[in-house]
Amino acid sequence: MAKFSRRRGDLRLLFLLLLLFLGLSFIFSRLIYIQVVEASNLTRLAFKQRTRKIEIVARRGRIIDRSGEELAISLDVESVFATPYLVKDKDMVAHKISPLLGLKEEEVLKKLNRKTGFVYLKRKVDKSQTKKIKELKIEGIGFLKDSKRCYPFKNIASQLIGFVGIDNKGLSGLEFQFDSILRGKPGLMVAETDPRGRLIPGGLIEVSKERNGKSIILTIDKDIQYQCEIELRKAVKKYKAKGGIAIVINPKTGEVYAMANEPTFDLNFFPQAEANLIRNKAVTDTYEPGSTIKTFIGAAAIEEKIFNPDSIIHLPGKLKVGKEIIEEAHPRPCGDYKFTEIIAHSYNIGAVMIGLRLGENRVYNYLKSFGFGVKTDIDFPGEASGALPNPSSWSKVSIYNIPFGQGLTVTPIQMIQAVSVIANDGLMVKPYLLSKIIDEGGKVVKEHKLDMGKKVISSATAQEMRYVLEEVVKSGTGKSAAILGYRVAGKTGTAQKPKENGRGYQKGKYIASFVGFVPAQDPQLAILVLIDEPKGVYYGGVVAAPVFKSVGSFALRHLKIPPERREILE
Amino acid sequence: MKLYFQENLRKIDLTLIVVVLILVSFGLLMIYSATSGGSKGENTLIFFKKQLIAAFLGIFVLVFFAWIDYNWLRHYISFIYAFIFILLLIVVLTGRIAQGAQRWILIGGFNLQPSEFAKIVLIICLASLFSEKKAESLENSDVLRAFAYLIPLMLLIFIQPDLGTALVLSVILLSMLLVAQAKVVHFGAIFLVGLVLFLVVWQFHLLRDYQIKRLIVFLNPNIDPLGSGYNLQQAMIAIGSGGVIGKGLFSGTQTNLKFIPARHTDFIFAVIGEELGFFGACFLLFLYFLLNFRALSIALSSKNIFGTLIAIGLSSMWLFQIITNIGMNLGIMPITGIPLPFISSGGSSLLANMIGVGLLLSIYRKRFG
Repeated sequence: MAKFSRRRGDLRLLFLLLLLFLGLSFIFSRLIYIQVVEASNLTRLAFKQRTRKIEIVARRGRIIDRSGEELAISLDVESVFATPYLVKDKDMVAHKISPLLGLKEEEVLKKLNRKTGFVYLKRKVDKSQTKKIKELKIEGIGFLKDSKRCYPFKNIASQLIGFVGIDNKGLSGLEFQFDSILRGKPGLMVAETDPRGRLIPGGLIEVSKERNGKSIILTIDKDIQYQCEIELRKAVKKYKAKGGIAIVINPKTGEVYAMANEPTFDLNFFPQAEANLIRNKAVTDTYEPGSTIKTFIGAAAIEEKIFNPDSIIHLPGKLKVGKEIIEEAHPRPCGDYKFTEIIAHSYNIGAVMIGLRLGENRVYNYLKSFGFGVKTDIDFPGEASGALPNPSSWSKVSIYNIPFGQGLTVTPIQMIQAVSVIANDGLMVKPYLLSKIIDEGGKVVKEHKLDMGKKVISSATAQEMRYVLEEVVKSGTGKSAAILGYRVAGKTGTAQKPKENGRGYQKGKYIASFVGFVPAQDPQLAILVLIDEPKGVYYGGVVAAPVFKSVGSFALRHLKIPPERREILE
Repeated sequence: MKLYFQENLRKIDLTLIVVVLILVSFGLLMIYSATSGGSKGENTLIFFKKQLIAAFLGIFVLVFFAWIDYNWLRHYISFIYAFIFILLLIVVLTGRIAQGAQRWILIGGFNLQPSEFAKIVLIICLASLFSEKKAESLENSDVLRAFAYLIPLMLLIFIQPDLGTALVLSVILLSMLLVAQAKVVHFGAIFLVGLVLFLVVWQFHLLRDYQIKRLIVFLNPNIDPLGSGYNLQQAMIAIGSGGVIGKGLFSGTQTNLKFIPARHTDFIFAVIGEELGFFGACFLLFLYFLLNFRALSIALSSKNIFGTLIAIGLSSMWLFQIITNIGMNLGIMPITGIPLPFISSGGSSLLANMIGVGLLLSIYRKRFG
């Protein structure tokens, strides 16, 4: 047996023992660091890594008209998804369910072959269809609650209501404006997933329950809205016009009964609609108002006691301002005319005379206080403010143009708000669309507060202007707006469309309009009708006034506003 | 009769036996936990079943080697060495391709991994060689002969490639040289040769891409969290999220959701850390401490150098594997694919370790000559 130094061997053994101790204590300290010091951080990381958030769709609230008609509803549907790795016989499954989903077999198969843990086969499928799929009891095919927006009246009030995207988020119109109310709050589920992001069966935990959206009740009356659209369509067709706009409001409260744009589109198929049709031009677009603006120039002159309805004003046949010659649409002899006559027959030179007496500043200030150049702040997205230039930027001819409605732009909603001031004894109320918010049980959560109105002119001036405007329909340019049994007040407008570059006007392109209210001395309705680019005849009194009449008579009957006796006897 | 029984009992290292049995059972439990939570359709219990069979076989092997006199092995050194050499050669020539490495011979449904047994063979061969030395210190020729044993085995394992096991072999050699009284000059020479070899390997790209990548990632695990660094981070996340008391047996979320890679083999410590927490991990460390403590005690109490050296070889092998494997799980060692002794799933590894324990018991039994 060889010699072996026990002692030196022992020493070296001890050295090994020391290494053992060192190694183990190194590991031990690292363990403490990871499992005690860093434990909470790493736990959070671990949770984050294995969970995935899934939103549970909340049912979007309804949009309802003033009489309870549902303009927009949400159908409970289901989205069909697959967990591809759980689907055994992919060809068979694709063959079986593709007809039920209305999809091509290859399309379904492609999705089933995707290397993921979650793939939508089809979103928003009718429950009657998903029931059939459920009966097949296919492993790996799942269903998620979803909600599909549906517009039962298809193309009624399309631009006003607006639409939602695939995720039920409001994209335009009232759907967009009141999205936060309608949308509700989605529920949250946390799903545990494996490293490839695949859902673990049974690993769903509900974190919060979804809260369905609230419904909104509008001031809109579906029947009046529908009537507006029909009448607009007729007029547009008759005069081969580009389009038309009509607004019906209650001048005393600001409730909007109808806001129609023609042409319209089916909301259920909004992606197919032309981009230009989607806008609610009654709020978003501006136009040169033309003669309808004379209403407010006249009101200003009476309020300022410069004239009264019976004042006599001398009018020349033509008016030369620099290079420009101002003429009447219908030639009239040079001579003395009554203030009322000037408005009733819409004499441009008369309006200029009144404007000149008011002066630049007063013209500007009154137009401004009638709400022009400022947003009405109606509860609708994308409102335009129009352009009412400040006198400091006026040219020398501006004071000869603005009094008959050139050189400024307004929105239809501004125009009807301004006319309502005359109808409402000089008080301006803000037009609005949202009447009430109700919860799922139908309980009113919030209601529109009535606006006391802002004083623009005295009630005496307003009353005098109402008589003046009544004369427009009785004997002036707006005779075809007359409604049997009611006294009607209003003003016609025929405005040339300015060129895109703002210099001069497009030849033969007009906007024919009529704005008025009824009954003339106790106005319940204010109506604006605007026809864009009528061909052939283009006068507001011919093209737009009859639409006012049809819409007005329907709305009066519909709202059961009694006829005035005196008129019936006539 | 009673005296005879007591006499025999005195010859058995009960602590060692108990520690090893606990380790093996612990390993079985963790393999079961690591693999049972899979999704439907997978034959997930296969690893557990295989390990269970290996454990029973292991007990027989252990009893057999405890029962024989370890000194007999000296007579069969050449035979044993030739046998393992041929097995390794077969692996290289015909071995199955798996995990980018050829490490197995398929025998009756089981994958035999000769490199695991090569470690034991090397220990026995070196112990035999060094115990025959004449002088107090090792001669140059002894050291050269030791390398003559090491290099063929190491090369065959290295080209599989199994860098981890090749490393274990060299660690075994070094620690046995240390205890067998090699001179400081020898260590200096070995260090120099090693350095040159390393430079050659590096320069001529003898390492596989993934091996280099693992080293780089080890140095900075954030480089590639879903690639090579993924394993490292996942193990650390799992262990850390286990906290002090763990998430409970079979309830490790990272384990059951398969975030931990190779969770029944190389990263089984992560499963232990996650499910049993700091306490569980410490318990395992304590068991390992006892195992090595017994091995070193047996080394000290052996009646001859052959026994001492075998015990030293075994202990250094286990220690190195334990520290590198757990260190890798904890992100303080590079990923080398070295299994955790007695715990990681793998029949060959378990059987080889059981042979080692059997040898220790035999050395202990024979300590009084």
